[in-house]
Amino acid sequence: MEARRKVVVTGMGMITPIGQDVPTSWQALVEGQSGVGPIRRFDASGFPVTFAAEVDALSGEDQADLKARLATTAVQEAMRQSGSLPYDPERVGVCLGSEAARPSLPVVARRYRSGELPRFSELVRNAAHAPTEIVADLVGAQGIQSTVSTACTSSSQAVGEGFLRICRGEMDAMVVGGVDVLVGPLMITGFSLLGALSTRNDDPQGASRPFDAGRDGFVLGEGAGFLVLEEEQRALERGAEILVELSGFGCSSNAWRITDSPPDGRGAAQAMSLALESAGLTPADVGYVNAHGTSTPMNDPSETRGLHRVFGEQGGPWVSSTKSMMGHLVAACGAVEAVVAAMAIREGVLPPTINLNNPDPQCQLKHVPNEARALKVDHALTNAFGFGGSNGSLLLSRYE
Amino acid sequence: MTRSARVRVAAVGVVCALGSEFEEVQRRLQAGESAIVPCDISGAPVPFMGARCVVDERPLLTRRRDRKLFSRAATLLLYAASKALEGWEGDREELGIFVGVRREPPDTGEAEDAILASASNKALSTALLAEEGRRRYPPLQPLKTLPNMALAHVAIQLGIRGESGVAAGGSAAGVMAVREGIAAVAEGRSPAALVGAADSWLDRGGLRDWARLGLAERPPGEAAVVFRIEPEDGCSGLGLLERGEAGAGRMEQPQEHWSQVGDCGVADGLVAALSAGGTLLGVDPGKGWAEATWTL
Repeated sequence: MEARRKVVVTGMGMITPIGQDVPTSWQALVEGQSGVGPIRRFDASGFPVTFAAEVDALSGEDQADLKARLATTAVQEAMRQSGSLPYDPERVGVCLGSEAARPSLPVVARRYRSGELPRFSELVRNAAHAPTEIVADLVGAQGIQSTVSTACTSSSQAVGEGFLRICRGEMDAMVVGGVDVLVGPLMITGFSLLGALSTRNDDPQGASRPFDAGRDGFVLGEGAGFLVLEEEQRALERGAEILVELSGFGCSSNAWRITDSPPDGRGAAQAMSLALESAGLTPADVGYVNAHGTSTPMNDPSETRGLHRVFGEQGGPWVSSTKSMMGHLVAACGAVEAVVAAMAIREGVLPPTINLNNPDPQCQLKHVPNEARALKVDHALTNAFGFGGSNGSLLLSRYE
Repeated sequence: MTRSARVRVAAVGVVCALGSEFEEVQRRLQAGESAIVPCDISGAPVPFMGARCVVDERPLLTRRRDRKLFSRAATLLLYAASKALEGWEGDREELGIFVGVRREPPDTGEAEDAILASASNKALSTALLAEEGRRRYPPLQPLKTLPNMALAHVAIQLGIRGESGVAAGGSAAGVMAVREGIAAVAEGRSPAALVGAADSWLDRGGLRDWARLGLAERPPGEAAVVFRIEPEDGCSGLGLLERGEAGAGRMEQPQEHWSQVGDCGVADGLVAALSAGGTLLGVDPGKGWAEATWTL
């Protein structure tokens, strides 16, 4: 059997609640800075949740426009790092994790009152695949264009799909990532009615506390993350700087409940095991896990059980959740956290889980609490699990 | 990868305007029968539509709460997936599932009361939304409108735990999902998989969007098509399904079947192939397109 084509990362970009690009976001993560604060985009004073992790200087009400701005910012950074891709444009594809955008609340209200129809341009701009087309135009990709929409797992699976397309020789390069902007009155209303959001209104920066006994929900965030993936030999031939290898991907379905993960961590473990298998690695090879770690009462123990199933209950890799600082970027979190895992390998630093002052006994892991840890790791795993039970795990490896 | 991206179709589950059994639908498509009917939704901006699918979801969804949570597309998908799984005795822990969805299921009016209660003097008030609007907002609405809910509901109801994926967006999404499932089985990541798509335009919001997209001249419809696929040498079946090309560029969607069942959105390219196999083609209104080939 022929060896599988290797997939390498040659460019990365992100814009998050704690930084406008990869260097500033990474620096903030290493310093343990929180990007959570009172909501600025609208007056949330009467809402049950009054805080979120918003991107600085991002204003406006049109969700489609905000998503396009975030996506183009992050993908331009990634492309600056990779340099132009000198391939047949039909061998360059785009795969994005995204959801449909919603019209602004005043527009929705006006429409209900008047029976007004949505405009053609609005339907096109709000479609889930609209950012995919914008990114494809921006990078000149004429190969496959694909949009994955599996809630919080979307961009993890989008990165995984790009990985598989290069592995199987379908494309030479893939621009992959995710974008989401959900901080708005209806989403805050909906998610808080579900009981999914932290209500720690008096302490926004302490609200996202994955694996801590005092956690009470996630913090809604927003952002975008992109990676430029290339087939190893093609990247070497063009003299590209290889940042890390994307070495494995696994995904699974919980078939449990819409909002909860199974307490035994079965689906999560299956995704992680499949990622290890596809990379040809063993659990002992993995030095760091960037956990999904949402800070909800249900997710964190379930993910812990999943990690125990794969890595054992003792020892295992170091684990942290950067959602403690960035909040939950939903459809963008998988790609953004893949960039974080890549940076951890390259910089030899593991970002911390902040607010982890009293670890939940149900979440016994080798945590990186509150302060970054300097440590060289060769392989890092990153998890994303979504409403509805979609699971995705990506493995990144040092490239030497 | 060295294995060919080709699999065998072991079973087909379908529900569309022409029926809810594969053989029946295939026969009626081949006979050129039409199930286009006058549109029965008052004030709808289209004169005709594909007839509504006739499915009894109660045997599949015994809990009333589940029936309320299922969008129309999810219900159709569950029916087709159940049919495609009939008689299969493999391990559902490893069974893959890949589906295409058009967009988030529309809010078919559930949140209207909350929004109207949040308006004062023709302006929207976030203060009112935070109070009266929030009290009237359906708590499960966010879950109903997430795009991956069709897959999630079907996986939960049928106990499917293998590799999964949801392709979303334009009409190519259904065939995109089929192609991903073919790869998962052909490359050995899944021993078998359900692949397909479901879509329904037949509600007030869907028909409004249909007209706004400039599609009023063709009848909208609804359908779900699910193929159960297995390794090429793994089962007897209904022919071979092979990954075709995919990329960016504009192509015309073949439209012969629109006069029979209506345009079924992301399921359209799959319905079109049911009559005699051939190419499953999905074309976005934007730039994406994808195809697979079904040799009966």
